Amino acid sequence: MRHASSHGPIAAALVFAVLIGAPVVASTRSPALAGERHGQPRRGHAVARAQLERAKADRVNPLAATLMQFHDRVDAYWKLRAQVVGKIGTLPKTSDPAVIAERQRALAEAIRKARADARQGDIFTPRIAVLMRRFIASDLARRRPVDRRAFVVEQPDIHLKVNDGYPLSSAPLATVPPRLLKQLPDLPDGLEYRFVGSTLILRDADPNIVVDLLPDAIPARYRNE
Amino acid sequence: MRARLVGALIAVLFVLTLGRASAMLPGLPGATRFAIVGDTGTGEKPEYEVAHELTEYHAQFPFTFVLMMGDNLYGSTRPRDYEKKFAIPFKPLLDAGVKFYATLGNHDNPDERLYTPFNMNGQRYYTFKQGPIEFFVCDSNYMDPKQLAWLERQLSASRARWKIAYFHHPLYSTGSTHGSQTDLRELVEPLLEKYGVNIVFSGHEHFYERIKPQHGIAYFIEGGSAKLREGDIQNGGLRAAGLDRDRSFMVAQVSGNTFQFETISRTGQLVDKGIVEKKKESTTPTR
Repeated sequence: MRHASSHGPIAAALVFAVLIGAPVVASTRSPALAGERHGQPRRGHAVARAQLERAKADRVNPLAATLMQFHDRVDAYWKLRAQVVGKIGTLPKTSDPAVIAERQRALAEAIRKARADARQGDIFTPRIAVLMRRFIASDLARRRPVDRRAFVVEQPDIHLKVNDGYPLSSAPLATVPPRLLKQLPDLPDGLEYRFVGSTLILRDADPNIVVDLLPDAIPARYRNE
Repeated sequence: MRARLVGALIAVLFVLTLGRASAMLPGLPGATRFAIVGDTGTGEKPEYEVAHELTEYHAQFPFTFVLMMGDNLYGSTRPRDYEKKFAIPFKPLLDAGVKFYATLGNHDNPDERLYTPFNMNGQRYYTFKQGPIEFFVCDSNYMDPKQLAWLERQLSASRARWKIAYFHHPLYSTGSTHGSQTDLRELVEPLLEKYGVNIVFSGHEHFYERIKPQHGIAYFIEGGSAKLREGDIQNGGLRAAGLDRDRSFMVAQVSGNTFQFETISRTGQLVDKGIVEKKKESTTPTR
């Protein structure tokens, strides 16, 4: 199932489409979008640039295409997760916290096993990374320095990897500003954006695992403002 | 254009009485009685002292449920933490059948929503009704567009005489550590105002504070039921009353068009009390 993107990205895509005179709808099956690889940032950026050029040449709105690609990758994860949940079961409502913890552990373990080859950048591909960083930078630019500082300071200074559990006991989940959430593409219920340091993470709440990470999501100029 | 409320909160009366022994709220027949605590989950002595004082109050003024403003469990959330930081200090009230309705704070493990004694029904955000009141409980840690849309749907559908919202982060605060959550306020307050929410409770700041009514809404912060950020309240135009020298809890009752409250310190001193009155029934927004 595709999740409708939030208004911010759609509006941006529409504006961009008007500017380049391109159709808004694009498919990830387009040759212009096929074959992106993760784990090779330099080559990935070069590929992304080339694909953007081809997208323009094909009169495909690259912003809309990138959002589409993001949703496709999130959907792929969500389908895999649904299969795991089908076998393990959802988290139960109970007065016994031990039962919740045990089910969470089993769910996380099964998801890790099902995506043992998952790597950073599977969802935040180089093209999507560019877009996300742009959304975040744009939101932060509109804030007062004092508000930016408050946001940056609140982020826990921890380092995580794909499939890690989030250390809830030692690092509270930092609040994500609601206006920023309005700008970022929608996610299925239970999947959420969070920040650790200057890294944006995609966290699956029920199994409490990190699905993907985007380093340097907060621009360097704001980190020590 | 933002609709104006018809018959919303039009009179707010407060009496500030500091430093004298607690005077119990009068027991009005048929009133809906409840308590408010916030940022309780330390498992340390002050939490137990506040819980004890709350239990004492309950013996004289039998409220039937308690609103929890988040940070219900600081740090680890092993099964024994649920015991130490919640089930044991509040055992007398739980045993007496008092129900707790929690919201999630920034220190909470979101799995707490599944813990049945918190009555969240597995949801990060939810509503419930008690007497003439409908409560709208939000997750202010992650106020995404879906939650905002949900809140608007729930508020617009509500026909409750009293609408009370609560969530962890305060829209207004004079606290020097955190202060007002302006980002949240920008998106949430228009909905509260449009659909006639009467009262908003929050926590997060480790003190008690009553804010001067804003846009016809009475705002309270009760985040000092275990942790304390001493001397954090700043002087300023927003503050109507506050306590940042000791821990506290609130008790309240709603009867007809009247909401009465008292704020009590850890040692049983009356900190603040007052009345919020509605003069008309309808809270239907006009466009």
